Amino acid sequence: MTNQKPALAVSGTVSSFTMDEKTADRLTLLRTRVESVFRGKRQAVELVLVALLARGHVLLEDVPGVGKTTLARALAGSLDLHFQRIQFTSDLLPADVVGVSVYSETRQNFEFRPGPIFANIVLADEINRTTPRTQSSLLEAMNERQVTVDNQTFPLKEPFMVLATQNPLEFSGTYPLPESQLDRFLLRLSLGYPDRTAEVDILRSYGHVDPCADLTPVLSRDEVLKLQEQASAILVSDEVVHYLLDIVERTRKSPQLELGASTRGAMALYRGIQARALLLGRAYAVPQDVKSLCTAVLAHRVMVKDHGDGGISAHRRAEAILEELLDRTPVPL
Amino acid sequence: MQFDIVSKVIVYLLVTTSLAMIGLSGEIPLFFLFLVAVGAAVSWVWRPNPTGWVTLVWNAGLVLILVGLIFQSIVVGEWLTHAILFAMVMMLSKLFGGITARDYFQLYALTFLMVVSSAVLSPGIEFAVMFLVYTVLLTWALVLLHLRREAEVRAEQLTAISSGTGLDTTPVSMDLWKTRSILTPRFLVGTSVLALLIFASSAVIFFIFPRVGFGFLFGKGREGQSIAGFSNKVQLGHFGVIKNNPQVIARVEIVDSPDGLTEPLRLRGMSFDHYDGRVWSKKRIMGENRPMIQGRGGHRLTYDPEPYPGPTRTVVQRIYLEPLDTDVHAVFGQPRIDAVVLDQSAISALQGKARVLFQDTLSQDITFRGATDISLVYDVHSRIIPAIPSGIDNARAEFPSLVTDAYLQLPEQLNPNISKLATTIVRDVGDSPYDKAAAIRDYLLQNYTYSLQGGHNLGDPLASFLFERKAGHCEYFATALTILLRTVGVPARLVNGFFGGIWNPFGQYYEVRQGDAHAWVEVFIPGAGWLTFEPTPPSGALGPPDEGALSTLRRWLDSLKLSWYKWVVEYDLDKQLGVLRHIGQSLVHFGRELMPDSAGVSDNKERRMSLRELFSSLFDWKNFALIGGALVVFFLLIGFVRRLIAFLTQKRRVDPVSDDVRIVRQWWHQVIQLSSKAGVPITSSSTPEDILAMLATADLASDKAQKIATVYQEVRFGGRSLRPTERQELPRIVQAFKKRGTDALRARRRLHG
Amino acid sequence: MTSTVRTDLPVTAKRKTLKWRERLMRSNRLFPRKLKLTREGKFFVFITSGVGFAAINTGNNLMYLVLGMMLSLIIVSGILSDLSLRGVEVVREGSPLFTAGHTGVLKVFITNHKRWLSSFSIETEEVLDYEGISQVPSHTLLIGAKKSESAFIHLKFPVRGQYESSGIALATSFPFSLFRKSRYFPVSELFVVYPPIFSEDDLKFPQKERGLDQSLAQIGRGGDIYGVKDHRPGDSVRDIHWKVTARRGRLIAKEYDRPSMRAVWFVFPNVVRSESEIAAFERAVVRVASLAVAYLDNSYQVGLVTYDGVLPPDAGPRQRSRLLHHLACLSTVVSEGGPSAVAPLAAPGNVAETIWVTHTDNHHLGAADNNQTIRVGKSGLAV
Repeated sequence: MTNQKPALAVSGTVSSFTMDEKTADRLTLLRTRVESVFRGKRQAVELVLVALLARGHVLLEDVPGVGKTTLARALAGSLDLHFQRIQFTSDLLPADVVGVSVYSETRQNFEFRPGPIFANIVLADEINRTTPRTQSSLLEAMNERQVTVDNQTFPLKEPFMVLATQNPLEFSGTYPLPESQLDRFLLRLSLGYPDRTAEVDILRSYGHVDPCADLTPVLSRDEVLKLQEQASAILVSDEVVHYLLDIVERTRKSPQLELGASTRGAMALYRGIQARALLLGRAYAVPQDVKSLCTAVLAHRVMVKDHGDGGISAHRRAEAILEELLDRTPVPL
Repeated sequence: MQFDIVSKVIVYLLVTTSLAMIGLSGEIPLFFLFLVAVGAAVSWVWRPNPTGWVTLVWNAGLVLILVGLIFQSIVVGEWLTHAILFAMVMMLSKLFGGITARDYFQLYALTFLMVVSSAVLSPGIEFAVMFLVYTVLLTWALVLLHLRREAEVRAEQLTAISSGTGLDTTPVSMDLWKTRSILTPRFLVGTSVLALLIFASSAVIFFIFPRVGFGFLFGKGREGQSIAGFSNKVQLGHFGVIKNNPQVIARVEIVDSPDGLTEPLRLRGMSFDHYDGRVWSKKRIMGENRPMIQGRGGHRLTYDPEPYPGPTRTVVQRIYLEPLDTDVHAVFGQPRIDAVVLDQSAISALQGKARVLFQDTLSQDITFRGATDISLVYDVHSRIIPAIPSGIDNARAEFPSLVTDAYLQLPEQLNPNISKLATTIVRDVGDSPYDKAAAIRDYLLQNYTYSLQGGHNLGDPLASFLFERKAGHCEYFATALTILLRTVGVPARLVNGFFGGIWNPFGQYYEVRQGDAHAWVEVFIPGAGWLTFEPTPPSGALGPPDEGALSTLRRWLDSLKLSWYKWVVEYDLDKQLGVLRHIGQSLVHFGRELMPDSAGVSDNKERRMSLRELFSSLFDWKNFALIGGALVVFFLLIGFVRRLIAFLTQKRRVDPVSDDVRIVRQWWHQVIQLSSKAGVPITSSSTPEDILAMLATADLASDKAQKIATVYQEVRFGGRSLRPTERQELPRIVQAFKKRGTDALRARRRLHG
Repeated sequence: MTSTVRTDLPVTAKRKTLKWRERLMRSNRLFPRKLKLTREGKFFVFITSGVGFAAINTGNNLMYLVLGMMLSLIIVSGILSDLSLRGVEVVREGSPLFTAGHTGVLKVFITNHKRWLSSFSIETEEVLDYEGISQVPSHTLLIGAKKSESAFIHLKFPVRGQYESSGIALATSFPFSLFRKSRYFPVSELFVVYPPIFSEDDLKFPQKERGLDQSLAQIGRGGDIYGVKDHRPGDSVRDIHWKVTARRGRLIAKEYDRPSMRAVWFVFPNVVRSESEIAAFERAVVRVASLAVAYLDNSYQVGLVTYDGVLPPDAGPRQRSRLLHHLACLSTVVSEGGPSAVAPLAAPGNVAETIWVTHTDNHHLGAADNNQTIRVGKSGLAV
């Protein structure tokens, strides 16, 4: 199978590091730590960590009260990273997000007061409640990883990850993110409700303990940066790349999809599988990485035919179509 | 394997085979065949996508050709040839243009037309081999057509449902097939076995299907081979050329005597009455050329002016005649011919009415009217007169006037020494014509040698033979005996025919070849009729020898030809019933052997066939050899096709799959196989993690599978090599997994009962 | 006046009349199989009979050989297609949703229970005895022995409603596309098909409709003032609360409450006078659905009253599903007297707005003054 396709020049054909056990252990510890605090779906935690290691952003679609803030804070706490929450309201202005130059009378000049976006983990809550102008200020900053105010550029912190949330149920005065902007997010996922045992736990401990209170960091900020670098060097063999591209190609050829995944989407998936492999303690990517991440990474990047209604149902249809595609695409044996 | 390449190879092979079959029939001029072959080869590499007006021009051209061919066939006749020509042109058209499944189907139909035509035109054994090849190829081609059609239909449906408009007619993209193709080697093997099954079942149906029709359009045979030794004349000196010709012109079975005759085979053809000093010919047709009337049982009885009174042995020969030159109409058979039997299909083949056989009352030569360039089968009932005939010691010398008028003729310028010689020889013999004939015969046998060399004086070859050279070939001997007898008043005639032949033990028949052509003498003995006298020394009478290993092979192949003719081309209702009867009897006896209480008592002990005989007739090594031959052809074909496909797909092995990867893939494959056998719903899109999860749910040694999966993924996707410990340990784990799996399977089965 | 009330099945697509052969095949529990000749198959059989005729007539034995081959192909074809279908089980997965006029996907899981033999070219198809349904059967090339594959059937329903599938048909035309053999599983399933939704742009709202002609940008400004805050650069000038600004000496802006959720009732009497009105009625259903969804999307709570029941107003995707489901299963009450002959509908409780939708020309529906009536004309849009 590989013999007939041209060889691809990709980085990571040679593993430039060996996964040492200490790092692998600590990643597992990180994961369990976050999971212990956020007692919801395990898969959600995995996906968020993948996004972090892949230097991407996450769009969370969820009803209120399922622990989005807890997750974000747990993540930040476990990693010794600065956490900031921005509650988007309908009258929030771009300056409220990125910061503003304020005239200081004492100093007779304009001072830049950084906005809440200058953090490592930013929880942009209910992003669909704010005007498109404010939304774009956030999205641009996410993309550029810097903020430009009054012709001055201020780089954002590293590592930098935005967890944006949309409330799928509340539509009063909302501005759902336009589909063309969605692909700035590496993943789109929904947290869902915790299972019974977890929920029992949550109820019993509610009010008594702040779960994020005494979280000792598992990894330092520098270590996180190093891991991000290592993720981009994870070995992805030809077969896995071809499997990935098979799926991408099928999205483009599917008669049910108006628009398939773009090259950016393929790249996002590629980064994602590297990050996942690293997270699970492997020095190489396997097809299961592709399969696990495919829906979360690609569903918001494709456009379903006859998607007239748009919104949640279109996204769910996209997910269903991607599941179908995955079921049909044979895994390299 | 890429679908497109495989499809192309099979289709072109199919076309080639059908063209070859037509070519074998010899009906289509080779030049045209060559053109079509070149056209097909061009279409392999160049497939133009014609625009509207080009297609129009092409179609107009086709119509023109069709009209032209119709005209030509009306004028010249031979509509079949022209139909085949047109079919070939259509085939080319499809090869260049066709893309949809329907186009391919039409192409197959055209090749089929070729095959049917060649069945009508050339029933040789080559047809069998090519037919096997064609059947196999057609099976593959139909399966590929099915796959193509499914893809087409699906694409149409998907387009229709999403666009809601009409159907799309653009060519189907075969990308789906290229990724994970259904055309695995295993699939090809499966379809090959299928093809073989179809061929076998075709043969079975062939034998079973009842033959109830009457043919009115029998196949045209191949062009006749001229039998150089025969014409309406025999010219001395021109014989030697064909003496070493091994070409078989007839095959003779001895009915009721499957091991042949004790004495050499002698087939009488025609006799000559007039000798002019150099050339023998039939001049006196004073007898009547009577049609032989069909009597009881289809026998056409001969007329014998002087039947032999004594006891004779009846021998029935079944003669399979190859197509002959139109000059020769003689019916060959052993003397004396009592009756000739022709069956209905032979009669219709001769395109005759009831009167197809004629016998001349004077020469007793039997001829047939009608086409000669066909294969013919007929039976001859002969009465063999013993070597020492009885009832001829009388010295009667009264000959019928007809006989003396014709058969005492001598050339005008006969050398007087000849009659002197004859007188000398018969001086002390007595008056019995038989004794005289025997004496002269013996004289010739003892005093003259057989030689193929010429050099006789062409002015008087006989005298040259008798007095100068004292050596010559059989015509000289026969001429000498005839003329010498005539000079002493005994009617004698020269007879042409075949003598000897080669016994073919495989088919149990005589191969009669050109080189077996022979001349001898018939002498009229009052009270006994025309008796055969052989003056040629034995060494010269027989045809060229045939020894050695190569000749054994040749004989086996020849027997195949006869079997083909007997059991396929000439297969008819009688043979069918015969086979059924045979099988029925064998089964009855087989049953009787098994049932102890009815053993032993049987009325027809003679016809009883023992079990061993039944087995030996079934497991005849000849049948095995035949089946083996067919299988060899079959496997050669598969091998050829595979190699061709591999060559064309040009597998560029840039980085050869390392051994390690192959090994771990094999291990993992075993895990998959066992898991799916155990009922785990594994699909082609199941990753190792999916499978492990399913195994855990089904409680099927997922821990072992986990170990295998880990190593598999690390080597396969992680790029590392196997450690020596793993090489030893993993196979054991695989086995343990398998064992656990089969145990679980068994337990489950027991549970479910 | 007397009125006969007849409630039809909530299916507006016409049912197909089954041919007797089809009915016979389905009722046959033992061998629910069907064999059909494809186009190529018909040609092939024709040629075979031709060859057979020629063989019998001419007595040419080689023709018999050719005939044997063709008969073998037919026989083997029949055997193999039967084998392919044997031991195969189909199960539907999930409960998919369909919208009329849009293609939806139904997932099936096919299992081959045979021990040694694979199944080839298996198609599965829903047996829907209705006219106007477009379907693309699923097609699976290969299902190995003791293996399973998932496959997808594409369906497009013409009209909203509840469709009962009589079962699933398995078919194959393996190996030579000469025959198509199918097998029938009488596993029925009910499919609910939503009416199609037209987007806001396609709908033409009557002028008098309130609440929707405001530009969206103003929605953020709806509601009461609940507080003040510092005016930042970038805030609209209109937001400045001048009084407080004057008092405090720096720019102060108003802060608004979130606008309250407004509710609207749709009252839709699903009554027709005769069969001829059904087409207009269906258009009205589509209208109701589109309007309801448009209101929902514009942050209204939407409720629905029909003769089938009452749906209290609510917002969100769940309400959307409920509304569409209700409309999908909406029965068509036939009453010669028209809507007025049937007990009148009313929106319960105190409501902000009630929108009456009717497919007829009559106004008299007992609507109050502050309510609106939307008449649906031939084009399907408001008259």
